[in-house]
Amino acid sequence: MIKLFNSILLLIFNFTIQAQSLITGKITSVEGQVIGTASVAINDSSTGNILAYALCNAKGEYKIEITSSLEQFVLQVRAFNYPTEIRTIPNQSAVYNFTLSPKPTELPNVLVKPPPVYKRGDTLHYQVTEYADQKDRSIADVLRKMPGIEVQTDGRVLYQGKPIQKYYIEGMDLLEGKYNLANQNLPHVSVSSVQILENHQPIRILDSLVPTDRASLNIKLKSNITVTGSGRAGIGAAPILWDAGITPMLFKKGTQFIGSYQANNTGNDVGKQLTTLTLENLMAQMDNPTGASQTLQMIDAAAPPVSTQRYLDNNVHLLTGNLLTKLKKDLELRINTSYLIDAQQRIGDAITIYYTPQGDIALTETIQNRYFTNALNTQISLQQNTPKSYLKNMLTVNLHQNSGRGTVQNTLDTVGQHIATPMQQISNELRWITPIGKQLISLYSLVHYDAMPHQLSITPGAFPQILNNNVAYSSLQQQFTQRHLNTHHYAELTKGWRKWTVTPRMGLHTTAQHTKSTATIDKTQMPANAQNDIQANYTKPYVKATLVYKIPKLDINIVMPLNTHFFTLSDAKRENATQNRFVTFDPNVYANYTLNGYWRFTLAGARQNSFSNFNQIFSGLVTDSYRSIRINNLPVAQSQAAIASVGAYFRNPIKSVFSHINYQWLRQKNPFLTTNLINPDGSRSFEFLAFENSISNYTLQIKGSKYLSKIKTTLSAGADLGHSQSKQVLDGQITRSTNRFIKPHTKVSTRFGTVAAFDYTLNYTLATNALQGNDPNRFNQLTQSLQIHLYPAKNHYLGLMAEHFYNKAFRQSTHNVYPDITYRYTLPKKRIDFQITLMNLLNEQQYLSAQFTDFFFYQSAFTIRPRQVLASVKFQL
Amino acid sequence: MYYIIALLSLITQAVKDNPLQKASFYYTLTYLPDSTRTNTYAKENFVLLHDDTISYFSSINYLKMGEAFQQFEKNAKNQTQINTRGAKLPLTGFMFRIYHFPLRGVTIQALDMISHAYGIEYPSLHWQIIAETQTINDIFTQKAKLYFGGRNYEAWFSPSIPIPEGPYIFKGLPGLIIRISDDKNNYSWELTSISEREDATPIHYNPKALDWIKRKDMIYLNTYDGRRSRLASSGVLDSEWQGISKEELIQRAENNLRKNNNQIEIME
Repeated sequence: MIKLFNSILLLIFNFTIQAQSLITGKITSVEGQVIGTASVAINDSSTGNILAYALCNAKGEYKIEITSSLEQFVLQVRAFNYPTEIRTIPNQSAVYNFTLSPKPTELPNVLVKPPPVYKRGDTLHYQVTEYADQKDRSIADVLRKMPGIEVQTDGRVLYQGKPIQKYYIEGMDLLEGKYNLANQNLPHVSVSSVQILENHQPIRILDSLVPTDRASLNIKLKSNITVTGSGRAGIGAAPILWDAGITPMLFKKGTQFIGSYQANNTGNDVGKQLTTLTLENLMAQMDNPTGASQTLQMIDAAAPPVSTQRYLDNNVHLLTGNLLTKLKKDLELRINTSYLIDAQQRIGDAITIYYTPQGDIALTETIQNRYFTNALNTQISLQQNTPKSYLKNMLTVNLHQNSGRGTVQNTLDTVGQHIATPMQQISNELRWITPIGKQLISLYSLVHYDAMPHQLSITPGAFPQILNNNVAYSSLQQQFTQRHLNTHHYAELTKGWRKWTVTPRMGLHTTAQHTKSTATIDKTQMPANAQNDIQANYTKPYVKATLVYKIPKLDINIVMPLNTHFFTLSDAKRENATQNRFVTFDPNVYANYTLNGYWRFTLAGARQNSFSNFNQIFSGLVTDSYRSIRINNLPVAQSQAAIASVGAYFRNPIKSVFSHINYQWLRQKNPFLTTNLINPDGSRSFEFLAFENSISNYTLQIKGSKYLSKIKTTLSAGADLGHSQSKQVLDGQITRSTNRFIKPHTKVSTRFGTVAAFDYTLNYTLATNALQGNDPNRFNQLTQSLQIHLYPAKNHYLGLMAEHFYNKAFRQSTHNVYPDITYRYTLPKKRIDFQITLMNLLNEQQYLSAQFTDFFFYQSAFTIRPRQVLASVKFQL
Repeated sequence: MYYIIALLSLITQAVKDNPLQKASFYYTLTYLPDSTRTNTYAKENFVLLHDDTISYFSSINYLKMGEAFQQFEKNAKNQTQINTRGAKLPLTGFMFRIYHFPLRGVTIQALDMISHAYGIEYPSLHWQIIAETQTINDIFTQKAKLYFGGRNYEAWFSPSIPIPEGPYIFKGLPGLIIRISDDKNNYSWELTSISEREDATPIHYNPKALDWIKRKDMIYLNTYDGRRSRLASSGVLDSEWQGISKEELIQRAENNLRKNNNQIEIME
């Protein structure tokens, strides 16, 4: 009993009282000498971690005081060129002496292995070998596994949730925004590391003056002169499939070249490799709107939300050449040219059943369209980018000869539609920055011209009740031609003063748009009410001051533009002219605070005025599709928006953790509400209700990713949340409409040694739409993708993939599952792959989606690619 | 006679069946010279020479510079002045050497040029052992923390290399420091290679060659003004050189001093 009591007491004391022990002693060599390197460490016997230690003094004595609840320790005596003495000792004060006899200590070989991600200044380095596995071929395959980096389905690369600003290869910008070509075709074996340049100012002369929080990506190659690239050739069934491509690349000091010819009918949309993906290039387009939009449309089957590879019925040829070479005096000449020919087919069925008191009415519609693309794009640019000056001139010529042809078969009729949408575009952009005294002078000039003579033909003739006195006719031809001449010029002065950079600017923006439209029915031209001849001019002189405040941890950027907007519109057919003038002040402020190496916070606010409709105003009738005829005679509308956003960004490259949270709020005030009026004769027109209304919108984005280097796994998870509220006119009543969405998503990418790897992604969307006084409509969508990569033997690869799409709208739900199998054999040493891919194993023919309400049932089916097999050879140059 | 002695010493070496090794440890420092330009990092390589009772640490270029100076001195025996400016000297951002005496628990930093040296003694550092481990370049390490000179350092030491050494003045852990950096990543040393010093000459330490000064003077010598005065006293800025005027030289040197404002602390 006492024993039990004692042991309980001991147990309690063990937890409550920390014993303090003093361990002392002396360490000498067998010759009685003091050992300079001798140390005594007390280790935790369970973890092996050192808890306390002491070095010997000049007499060889040591003394360790330790306070711990442990019952015993492991005492380790170590000295260089003496064996390690290990003794288990109780947690009590005691004296331990040691006499050591020499024995050489083996020194380890140091293998300096760069960590998977490391940071030097504002540059993050990702080691490609750490993330690449056997199945990966292109650098894009590896990029998507790096923590903090995402590659979207269209190829856009995001860092910390934001699109990258530049995609450099060895510091040179060969493709300017159209980096998908390199990203998809550059073999990762040629790349040593991927660098993220944070806070990167691409214009070197502005480097210390104009701070930025944007990140750019740089590909570091393994050798100075790299000849690389990839190629492929494949055939398959059914129907007969073919796939061919070769993309040679050359990178050396001073010259870079990427050429490519790619062709296939397997659904691989290689034209995507020519899309501009960087935000800067898109923003430049927004800053200089060319007004080019397409008014005439063919009625089309809505594409399903699955990857284009599953449904795209194409026949594409792409030829491109890109050259960047350094001329004298840091001058770079870049030529990018591409020619794309594509024929795409889209087939979709829709069934709509209306429940009426008289009985159900079923409507079926089958849409079969073919689209033809013929696009020649060329860009020549000359650039000098040094710390002393900046010059860039870019000439762009785009010639597109696109068209489409199709039929819409409904319960009543078969309608033929044919569209021609050619476009000719030429533009020249020049920017020059040079120091004059202690300030920088910057001059900018943009001249852009485009012409779009579009034509839509519909057989049999549409809207006979409007266009032909209710008499049916055989064909309608609608011409709609727009020409634009846009210019933008400014002069700017950048001056640094203490911690401030001040940039005043004066600029002039002009747009001259000429719209001409005619309609011809059965070769007879329609009278003036179906004709337009409108000259619309827009002039915006402005002054703008940009103030930048920069101290090591904080950047503040304030932009204050004062704009005057002149609109003149003259309608030659109706002989009237209108003029409008607005003055707006659109300030914005942006602050970026770096707390430490890990945390960064941003805050932004802006006020914006925008003018809609201006380039879309026409008073003569235009048939813009076989279902729609309309006039658009709204006044120029001034909308005011206020935008605010806050963001917090965390990244720890040592632990490979990246995360961010971003909140955005927008409130836009519009002067009137528009309603889409369906006239008794079937035509549409817009009516506006002078009712000041507002749209409010917020979105919240949270995302985190982590790379676990021990198990070679990249984990990421996050969610997007959104809420928006606007007013609508419904049945003559103003009602409030509320939209909400929540989109959680996660991604796991892992590798089990050299035997297997798997990737799993899950995206879920729950969206609701509620009209005032009505029950909300719910919409659920789930997308899952699982990829299992197996390496059963050396040089053999088996890939098992499955995609699952789940849709639930109203009460109807649909599932679409697409499993695929790939087998690949790699010829050792020659970098040649033989590959067989089986896609859509279950041979699903259509992608189904459905809507269901109390009044109607709507189901659409988009024809997707059937089960197919493709055998191909892939090689690296 | 000489041969007999040599033979004898060879025999005694062989009889002592454990010829003790002496090792050199190489470190790479990545550092931020200018704290206002947070994206411009510099690198320099360092060496740690280790004997049983003393160790030596300096930048490799500093070591080479010393050798070059000695060479100049030899060559210039008959000249009244040594002109080193025209020669290509190895450049270093770290004009110091560190001696460590583990048994005395003392570290000595000798600052400045070969001809003018100042010495300062440091007592032992107060390391805090942390129960965290990681493997760096295949070497098992444990963490230790230190607050020194206004910076928080995080060190990773290897108990299996039982040498109480590390880069700079960072000594006294029960194992070699494999990596050490401050929490702002301004200074970060990492062990890059180890080699044995087979025919090692003993580490040369001559306290008489050091000009022993007070702590506060040493601190002053590491400030901008102090560094400026050291530069001036070295005579480097006294006359024009290779067509560069004296004013221009001073201007350049001052700019350089200003740019290198993020000096590592020599004092607590």
